[in-house]
Amino acid sequence: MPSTVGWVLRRVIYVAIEIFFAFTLSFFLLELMPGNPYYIIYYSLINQGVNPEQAKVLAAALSNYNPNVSVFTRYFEWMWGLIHGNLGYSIVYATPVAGVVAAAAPWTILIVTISLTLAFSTGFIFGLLAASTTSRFLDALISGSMSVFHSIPSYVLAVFLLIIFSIRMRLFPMGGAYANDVTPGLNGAYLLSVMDHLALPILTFYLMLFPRWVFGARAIATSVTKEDYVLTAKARGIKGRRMLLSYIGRNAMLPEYTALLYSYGLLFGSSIFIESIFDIPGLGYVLSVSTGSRDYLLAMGTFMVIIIAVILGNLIADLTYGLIDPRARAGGENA
Amino acid sequence: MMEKIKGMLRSALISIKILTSTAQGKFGFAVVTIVFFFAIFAPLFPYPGPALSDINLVFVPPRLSPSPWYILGSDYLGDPLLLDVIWGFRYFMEIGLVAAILTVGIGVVLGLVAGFVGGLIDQALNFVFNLLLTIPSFALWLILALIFRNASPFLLGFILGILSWAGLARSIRSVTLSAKNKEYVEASKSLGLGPLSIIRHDIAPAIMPYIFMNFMLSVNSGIYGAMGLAFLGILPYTNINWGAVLGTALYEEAAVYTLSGTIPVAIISTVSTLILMGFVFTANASDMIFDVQRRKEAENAAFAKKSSKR
Repeated sequence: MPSTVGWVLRRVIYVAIEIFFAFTLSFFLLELMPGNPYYIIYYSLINQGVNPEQAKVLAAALSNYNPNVSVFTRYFEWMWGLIHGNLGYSIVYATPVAGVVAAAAPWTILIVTISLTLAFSTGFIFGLLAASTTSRFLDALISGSMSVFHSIPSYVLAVFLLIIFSIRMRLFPMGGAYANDVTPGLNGAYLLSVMDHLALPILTFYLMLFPRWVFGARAIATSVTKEDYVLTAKARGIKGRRMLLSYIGRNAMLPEYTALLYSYGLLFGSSIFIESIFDIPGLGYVLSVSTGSRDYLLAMGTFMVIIIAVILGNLIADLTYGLIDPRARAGGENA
Repeated sequence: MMEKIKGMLRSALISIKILTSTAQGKFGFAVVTIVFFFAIFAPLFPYPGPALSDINLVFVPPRLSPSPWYILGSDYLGDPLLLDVIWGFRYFMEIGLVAAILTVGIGVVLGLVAGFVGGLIDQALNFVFNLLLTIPSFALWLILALIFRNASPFLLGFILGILSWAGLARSIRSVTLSAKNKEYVEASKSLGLGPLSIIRHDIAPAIMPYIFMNFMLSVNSGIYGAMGLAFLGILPYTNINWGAVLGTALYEEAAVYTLSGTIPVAIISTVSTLILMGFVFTANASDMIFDVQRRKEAENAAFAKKSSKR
């Protein structure tokens, strides 16, 4: 057992290093981009008729950005703050970055988690069924319709769901996370309003993700069907649901489980479109706001959440793989 | 020289034969051919600019007056949608091809170096690949597109290509690693063949499907991304970017609130989805195209036909 503990420890240390480097790289990428917040505010003040001397002082105060300091100094200041739990100050929101990100993240996490879980579970079962069907017509129908959904850009899909469900049928609101007349908190009216408003964004994400899991499960299930243990089971007369779930399904689940965790964090990045279209104040929305005004520290704050989500997804996949695959567990102890 | 060109043409012909042997492949081949054809010959068609704009024809459904160009309806400027589509092919191909060439170029070179050289260089490069994959590259592209607000299609493709090669590099590395330990590579090594010869003859066939597939998918993500940026209003509106047509229909002209305005929106959405689907189908066929067994069979079949004709 000590070897397992050592392995876990090594993985965790590796992840910490990876997060550190990913943060550093993002910081410099964002910082090195042309056009800094100081000059944007400075020139807008000049355009408003403020005199240059005053504009300089005001811009420095408003942007909280000193143009005379090198990138490295800013980096160390930022890192020092980060270690002490301070992510800096957002220009657009005029509040600490940590607060803005903490308010935005739950919306994105909620939408991504619900839609990905639904898409994975239904897609996996649908994929198994598609793999076990012998009807060529049904197979062609499934792969054809899935290909169409797979290729529709997310924003096109979102616009059409809006046209159909909000504009034509008036079933769902046009946008926002909840109605204006409810007070956020643990009350029925608020929760109902949130569900009403999040239905379309979740549906968009779901339809976008669903085909990927159908294709994945179908491809793996088809290759599992050729394994010796499935043939043996067939020879023993096992068929129907037991065959599909216990023999094919369980073995096809392994690679799909890893893929699920890998894809979780990446979805945060692709929520920009859906959150912008449906006016959900999540991370994607904050990211698009922050980029428009060169609010680097805020952009960095959202990048951090996305990076951590991606890296943690990979780590959890690695650490728990042994739990669901006895072969990996046995292999790990021998090694 | 002539022999070499003949050989290349022949191998291209066989690739097309294999690609078009399935329904999805046929569709993909048709889409890619049409897109490239119009991308090259777009200047033969009138440009959907101010000369054709008509304020009275904003987002109208298909019609044949005032000119047959309006057969697909019109956009937010009152320009014919058909011309937006044709010139859009050229615009999107410029972005997609630049991005694809850069992605494939950088990804293949670095992946090969990592897999082939091995050791510390491999470990360092692999760490960089994994690191880049954790950073939200689309968000970075968005930021850069915003900074270079009037970016040309070439620059947009260039930025996208620079940001998105890490995934391919990682696949090329692992394929190279596994190919390197194959017996035939050992044999080539013991024969004293240099690394370039080994890469060309032993490793290239293994990575070809990845190159082809990623090339097609990069073109795809160029179209998808550029449309998305214009849709959000991050790229300046231009009607040859279909995302701008879609975005204005929703945000500015409110065309989606009427049935007649929705029709051109549906048409442009269908066109873009079909194009993206065609590139994905072509990418999916890459395993088949480079399958040695299949190529042999296709070659033999082609020969058999020729000899029977004689």
